[in-house]
Amino acid sequence: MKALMALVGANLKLVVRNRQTMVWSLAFPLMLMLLLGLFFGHASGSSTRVAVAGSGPYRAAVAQGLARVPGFSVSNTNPVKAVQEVRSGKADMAVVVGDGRPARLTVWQSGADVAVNGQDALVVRQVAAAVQAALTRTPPLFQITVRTVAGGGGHTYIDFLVPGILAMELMSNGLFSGLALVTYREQGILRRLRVTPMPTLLFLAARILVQLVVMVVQLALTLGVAVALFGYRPAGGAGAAAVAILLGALAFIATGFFVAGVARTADAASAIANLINLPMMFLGGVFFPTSGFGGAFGFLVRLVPLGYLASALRLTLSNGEGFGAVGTDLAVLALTLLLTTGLAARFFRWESRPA
Amino acid sequence: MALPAIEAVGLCKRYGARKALDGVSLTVAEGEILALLGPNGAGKTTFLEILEGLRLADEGRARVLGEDPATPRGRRRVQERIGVSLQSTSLFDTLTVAETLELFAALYPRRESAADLMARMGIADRARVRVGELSGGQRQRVVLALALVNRPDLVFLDEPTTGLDPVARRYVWDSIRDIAERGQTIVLTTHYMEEATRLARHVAIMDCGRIVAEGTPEGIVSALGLGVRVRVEAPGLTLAGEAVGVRSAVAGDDGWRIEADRAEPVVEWVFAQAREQGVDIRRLEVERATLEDAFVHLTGRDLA
Repeated sequence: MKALMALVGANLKLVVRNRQTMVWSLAFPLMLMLLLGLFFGHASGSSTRVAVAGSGPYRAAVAQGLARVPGFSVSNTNPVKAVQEVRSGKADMAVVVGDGRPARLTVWQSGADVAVNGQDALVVRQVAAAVQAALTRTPPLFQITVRTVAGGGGHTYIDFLVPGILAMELMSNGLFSGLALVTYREQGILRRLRVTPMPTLLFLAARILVQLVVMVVQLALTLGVAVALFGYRPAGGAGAAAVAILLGALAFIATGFFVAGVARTADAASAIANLINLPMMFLGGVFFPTSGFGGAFGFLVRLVPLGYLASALRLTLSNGEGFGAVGTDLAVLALTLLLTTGLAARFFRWESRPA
Repeated sequence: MALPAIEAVGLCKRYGARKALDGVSLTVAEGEILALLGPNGAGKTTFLEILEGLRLADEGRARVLGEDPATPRGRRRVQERIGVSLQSTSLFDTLTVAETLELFAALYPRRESAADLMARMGIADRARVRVGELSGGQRQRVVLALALVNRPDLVFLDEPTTGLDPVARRYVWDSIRDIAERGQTIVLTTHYMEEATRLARHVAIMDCGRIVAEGTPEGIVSALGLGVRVRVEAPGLTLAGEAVGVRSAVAGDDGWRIEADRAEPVVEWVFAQAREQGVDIRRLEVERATLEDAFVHLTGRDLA
């Protein structure tokens, strides 16, 4: 027990101190989700964040008018900060109201999404017109309201994307988990551990445990960002989701260990892992649904274990389904785990092959 | 009754068609230092691996500290009581020195305090430095400390000074002597003759999977009857007549190179001839055959 704790502790340090791995396993999926979410997820469900700043008698009226627009959330700040917030992505739009008459009203936008920007700018014009009408007591000729329309069926792209990203993270993390083993093998560290009386499987167990810890942190972080920035709301199915996550994580770690057994060097292991990673990412239905495809492509899609993990997570986390809905997915994942564990055990090596 | 620390009888190991070990028998007494000398591929590492329980021999048997490392139970017992230093790369680069020692200590039932070990190896000030940032010499002392972390009765050091500069090498030698003074048996492999002669009274020379000579460094040399080499710098000297035990006498530009069984008759002969001819002897050197000569003689190869 003491040995296992020491190994887990040491491996945690090794993982955390490997900056490259940390960046790839934590930052990359988040970046991907942010990009995809901002490009495709904006119009559906998430609100437009407007930073209002400036001075003069009309500022408060403009802010109130904007706040009344459905889908707009308004914060008040000063002009410099407002523009900074757009630049840093904290706000989607800054509206700076000036003094004088006519009062200069400047709209700053991030430029990330032209279509959405146009709509938002229109809304501002509309609000300004409404403010003018109210203050000058001219009765309006038209009353126009701009509303954002939620995606069909109550499901947004974010609902589709988040479980897919979670599944992808588990896969990438698992696939690349063998890299360190190859390095340790090349450097003779595994050999050094083998001349201690420690049962050698204990080292692998510690390594797997640490990998699972990293994965849990990664998933929590991703979910947190999805909830905070994209308004993602997990719908339930936590138990079934947890089982799917565990099965998927172990299956992909086993695949990573199998890769470590087959590859002679860490570079080769990295190349092989990428060779599995990239096609799986696209065939697995992470970014777009692949379930509707038929023919050869559809057949290929059904062979990809990642698809079953993504599907299970979608059904549970986004749709709130329980074990009943994901039985097939879990069975496929369990089968994959058995197969990959067998392969990993068959090909595992403690020592470098002589060149 | 003092059981030998190691008793190997007729160990054989082949990798495919190549015989890595071809009948190695060797006994190491408790408390002594054995130096295994041999070129790359001689079988030194394979021999150690069998004793350490990393490999199974095809033939023969071994007892290490009274246990059989070929059985699972014996292997665990052996590994609890041996200390091992592999090549200097076998460390986690991103763990600190102290973390490394504590990790390995946790893997053994019997353990030495990390702080004591670091002090003994002169790396106490490096405790919080990551292993990857150490110099080659410091790193090697971590490897040595790691070999002592379970207070072993027997320590295997595989090429402990390969790749180190002369100063670092001397540090490591001091540490090895320090280990020996505590009564721990040491088996080390090396390419360096000087290392073997300085550290060990028991030397075994391996070549092509066999032990080709064994004994004290002097014993190995004298058993081979390699004799002495006398270099004389005396321009114009001619050597007439004969002396006892001269094997060859070759004239050079400004003197002679003489190989002989013993030095004294040759020296007397050279002086007598010089006096007769009125020639000045500028320099006269007597070289005894070294372990290196013995090695070249035995294997037909240079060591380094």
